[in-house]
Amino acid sequence: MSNPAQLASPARTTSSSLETTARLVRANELAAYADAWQQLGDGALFPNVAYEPWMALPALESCDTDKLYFLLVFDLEERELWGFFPLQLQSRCLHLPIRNLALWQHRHCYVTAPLLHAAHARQALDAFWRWFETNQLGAHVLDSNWLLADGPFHDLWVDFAMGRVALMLNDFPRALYKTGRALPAYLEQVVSRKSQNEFRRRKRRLAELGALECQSAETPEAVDAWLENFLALEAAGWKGEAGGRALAAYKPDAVYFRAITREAFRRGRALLSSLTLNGKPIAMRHTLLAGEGAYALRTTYDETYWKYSPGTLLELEVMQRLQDYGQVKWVDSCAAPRHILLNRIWLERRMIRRSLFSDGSPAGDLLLSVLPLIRWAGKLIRPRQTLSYLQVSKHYQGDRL
Amino acid sequence: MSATSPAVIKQAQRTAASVRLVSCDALRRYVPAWENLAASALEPNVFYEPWMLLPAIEHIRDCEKIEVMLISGPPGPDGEEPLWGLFPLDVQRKCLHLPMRTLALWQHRYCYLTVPLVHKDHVGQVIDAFWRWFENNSLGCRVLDTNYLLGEGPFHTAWADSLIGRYVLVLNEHPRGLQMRAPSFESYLANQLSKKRHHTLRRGLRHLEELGRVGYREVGFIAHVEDWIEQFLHLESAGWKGRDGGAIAIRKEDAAFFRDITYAGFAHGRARLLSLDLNGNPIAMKLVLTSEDGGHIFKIAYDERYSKYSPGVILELEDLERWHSGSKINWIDSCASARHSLYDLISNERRVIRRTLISNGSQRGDLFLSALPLLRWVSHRFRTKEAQL
Repeated sequence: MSNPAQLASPARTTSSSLETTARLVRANELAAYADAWQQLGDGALFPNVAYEPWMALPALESCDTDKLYFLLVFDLEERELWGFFPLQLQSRCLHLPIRNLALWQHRHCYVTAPLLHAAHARQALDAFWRWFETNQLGAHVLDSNWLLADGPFHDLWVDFAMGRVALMLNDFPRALYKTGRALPAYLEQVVSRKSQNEFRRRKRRLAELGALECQSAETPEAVDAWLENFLALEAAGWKGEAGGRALAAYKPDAVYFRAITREAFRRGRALLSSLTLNGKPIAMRHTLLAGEGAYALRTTYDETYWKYSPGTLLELEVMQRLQDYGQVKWVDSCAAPRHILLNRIWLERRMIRRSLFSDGSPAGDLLLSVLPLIRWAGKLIRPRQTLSYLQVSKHYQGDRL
Repeated sequence: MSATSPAVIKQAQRTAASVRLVSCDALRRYVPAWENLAASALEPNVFYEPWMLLPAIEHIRDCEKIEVMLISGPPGPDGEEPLWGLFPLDVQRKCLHLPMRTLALWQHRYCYLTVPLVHKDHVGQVIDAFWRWFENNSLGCRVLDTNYLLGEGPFHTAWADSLIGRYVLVLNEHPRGLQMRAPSFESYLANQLSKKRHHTLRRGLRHLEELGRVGYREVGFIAHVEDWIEQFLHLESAGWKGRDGGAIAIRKEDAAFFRDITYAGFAHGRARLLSLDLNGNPIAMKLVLTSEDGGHIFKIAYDERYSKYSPGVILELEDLERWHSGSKINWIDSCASARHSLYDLISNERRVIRRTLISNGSQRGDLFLSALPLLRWVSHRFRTKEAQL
């Protein structure tokens, strides 16, 4: 079979090389660009909430900013920001001493698609690759971390990746909810009638125990109360066990979570829902809104009520709420692949893929060509416990693991 | 890493799908069930429908050994096993010129998409049955070559889920033009072509009209199909495809295949035979094969003497306008190569095609896929272009 994509020359739009200026800035200079950056985030080809200034800047506080670089791509006169690429210089890649640049995946980042101006995405990506191919940081390898692998962003990304030596490390679907159909019709297609009756029965049983209410925080005071309730509820459950990932277990996480939630609320970007029984929350859901999308960032529930599935009941309520918003077209679950609850009630999937890309230098190409063999040998000697889709670049796992 | 994850095992216990390999000769008796399957496939693939695949098997033997895998569900009350999945497979002794027995989703030279037919209500069971069979297959193949599989959409996400934990090597991945229905033809054009480009095309059409009578024709009667076919074959071989050996008419068997599918497609109401005529002579022609609610552009040809008027683009725009005013077609896959000058211009969206090699989980398959990148690197560095892997 002919192979048009194989080792064809990387995408080059000849005109665009004259259309952009790229500037590499450090973390402490970023605040100066906050307005242009927020504007880019609002009109991005793919609305990645984790890379908007109000989510990214607070994340800087709990990580090593020495290693962070931010590539900003402007139009030629530097009047408008077209691309935002947060990068982390890493000295190791897959436990091997390979210097690489990774799309920065901070601890609360579930997708690493860079922000690209919707009308100038091609030029911005072109500028990025030209910069990367000749970068002065000594990195020959790009680690994409959890990059988006579908939709218009991916179509464009693939065009630029053609002809480069690359290595796909993992590729997984995660639950996505596409609004647009009435909820009953949606559920009809997703879960059996029996399960739907079961949901209703559990709700009735729960309501027999006391006043059952679904509410969302609408005032700053309510947000503060919601936050403390959430942190406490999460810490009380399985995530709070030793080695678990409850936010309250690690102070910087809790600080970050409070900060971004308050900021998101101030901007009208947070949907903080809870299911309460006699005023006491038994399930809580944190959702961030981003243009036509939304991110279901975190959820928790009271385990003493597990047999009533409070998490699922709240989820169904939140789905209805998001439908009513109108502007939200999709909700990203931010969940692991094969998530038991969300894979069941959410029909659609979003592809997330982590790959390594060479900068086109002989060293980068050779490295990525040898890596699979080294990994194979490594697995022979030391079988891995974690499945490959759970591996993120070392930084992401943070200092707790 | 174990090739079968717990989720797959759990599903395997539930499923009762059975797998059967059928040789090409025995295939005809499954045609009715096969047609039903094609109509309810998760992702339509016209190239794997009986009216296209059977002529391909008959005329185009560009592979070593074709086997068709049928995956059926548990027998119903009438004792019949419903057909849930169909995978045309090509058993190869070599993989990228290296001695490794490989199973490929069969892609003959006129096949532009290799998505297997999978019943939309039984996706998990079919994919799972395929992998359980492939992991211990009796053909001795350790690697699966997907050829031009679709890299997006519902089939892709289900397929990707089944690949978690397997050794996978992406050989190439590229976007190709996809035309998606817009609210109206006018809005499609406004978003797609700059004013300047649009003016240039209009001028081309005006100049063409100065040369004579310009007409757009879609074959509507079976009596006209023969003429259209001959004109197409002639037009195509007169152009650059005739010179570089890519024209259909160069090989007798290809021409026979083309005739068969054009007739069959027309008879089934699944082929649209279009042409742009100047004084009654075609100067641009194309064959579109349609599925449930979409279509694939199978072949285009145009008269090079008129290339400065862009007859190919004029025909495309004319056709876009026509199917926008109808109701049936929602998308058209260009089937073009990546960065195709015409279809990148005309198409408002892209669809990603991805070719991967996947190990069956055996030591040798895993090692082969792990060593392949290095072998390819060596080959690209030290060999001439022709001998590259």
